[in-house]
Amino acid sequence: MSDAVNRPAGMPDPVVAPINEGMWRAAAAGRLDVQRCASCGAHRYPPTDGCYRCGSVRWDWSTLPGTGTVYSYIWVPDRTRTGTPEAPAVYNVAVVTLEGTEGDPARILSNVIDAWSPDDLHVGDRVALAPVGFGDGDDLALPCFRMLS
Amino acid sequence: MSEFRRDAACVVGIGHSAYGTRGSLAPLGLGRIALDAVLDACADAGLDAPDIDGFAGYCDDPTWPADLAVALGTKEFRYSGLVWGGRGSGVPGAVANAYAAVATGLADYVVVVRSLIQQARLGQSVAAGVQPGQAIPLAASYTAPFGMALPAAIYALKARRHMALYGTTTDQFAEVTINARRNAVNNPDARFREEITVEEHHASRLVCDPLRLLDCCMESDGAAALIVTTPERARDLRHPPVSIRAVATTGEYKWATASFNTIDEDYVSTGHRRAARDLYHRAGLGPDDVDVALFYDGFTPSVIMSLEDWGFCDIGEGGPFVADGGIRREGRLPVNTHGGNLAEVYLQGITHLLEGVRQLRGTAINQIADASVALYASGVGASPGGGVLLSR
Repeated sequence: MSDAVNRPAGMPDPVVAPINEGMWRAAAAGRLDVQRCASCGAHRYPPTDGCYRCGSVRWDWSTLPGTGTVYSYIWVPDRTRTGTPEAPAVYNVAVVTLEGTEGDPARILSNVIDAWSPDDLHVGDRVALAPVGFGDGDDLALPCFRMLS
Repeated sequence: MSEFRRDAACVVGIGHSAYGTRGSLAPLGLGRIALDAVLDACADAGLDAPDIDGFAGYCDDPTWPADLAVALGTKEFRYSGLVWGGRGSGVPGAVANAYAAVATGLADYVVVVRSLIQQARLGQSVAAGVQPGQAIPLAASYTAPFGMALPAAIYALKARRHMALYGTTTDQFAEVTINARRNAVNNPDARFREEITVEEHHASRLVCDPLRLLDCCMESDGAAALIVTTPERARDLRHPPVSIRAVATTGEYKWATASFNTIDEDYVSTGHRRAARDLYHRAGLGPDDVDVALFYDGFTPSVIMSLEDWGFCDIGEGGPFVADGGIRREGRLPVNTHGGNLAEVYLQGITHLLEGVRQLRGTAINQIADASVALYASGVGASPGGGVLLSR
């Protein structure tokens, strides 16, 4: 399954809006961009209009290293695939604490696409950006992750 | 913080409609079952229904007070208030609105009401209330595309980290449902009245690892209501009033609805530690004074985290607290003596308040001897949640 990607089937695409379009485009280009306050430099996720730390409404996209640490995770049965009792068909949802941020820790909710079974993932595991495209073209992607061994 | 005026309002009537399985009350409709609940509460209070002059709701309730007022024959429609946000965290907010309305003279008799018919399946949504194939709201763009679909997933993420940090076990989650089922055995209103074992819990279908089907509340239909007025007006009514000693709806820092980005110390919690601090301060009471706790139990980890958030044990000790029978009727802190969302009915928290009133009236099915203080605490949801302390 080395080329396969463990992603849930049938999930909706995100809404592409001015406040988030930059991150989907960055992911398609292989970068992890999150909002950074243009006044105080604090990173924040998910996108919001104002800075929690200083109140400024001015912000830019900031490219992070793309690495992080698994904060928590779950496994959800994937009804679109057939599994076995030994290897159930499950996908994961992981909360990842991003590295290289300023301010309160920024976490992102995502998938670790090369983790396939409950033994593959632990709190504290390190992961790195592995974008998965969405939409009709090749210019938008979700910031998903892969294991760093 | 300003000084809180405690005991300024009380509960004088409780009522509910028929309860049913998911979708079974659709032929009646939300308005009818809400009306049934309000009329039942008025009868319980000994209040003429047209004297209700205020309405308080939560969870984006689609039943409009204006329509209810017409059906009730409301003579003076003086007040309505809604608490935003889903997942039932808004019960204390609705109680706070009713409390403030009667204490300040905006209205005389405010009914807190919630009616729910689950035609859209909350348990199978791809985002809060969004069904497969429907467009998601912008705010769900950071969760739904990644398969963060089930309400259970929110609790499962917190449960996993609770297990990793504190060694909490699935046996301990199971004990929460075992307790709920045990308390529902003699409750004629309860849906699930059969006791279960740890083995049955572990054998139930995996919903969202580490949570299984028997960690999840039911999907159900029904409506419930409680009537709030001032202590002075309560004297003319049928029951001795149950005082609302205090209410607090304080939310956590950066909680909002995207609770995966709270600060670290708030993540493994129901999001009510600041509310607990404020509630106990306002009430002049503490955890040791609580005789019965009614914890929102949409999913079993909610109860374990609530024990910690509301000060009944240290952070991380919720698992051991339930493991030794601490939440059973005979335990240190009887919890959800009616069966809760896990066994009685799922009406997003309001039925827990009804049980609190019954316990303090001395009319509960599993009556705790001499109960004089009852706590209601919200689960994980859209901020603000909070808690209510009832006393007699």
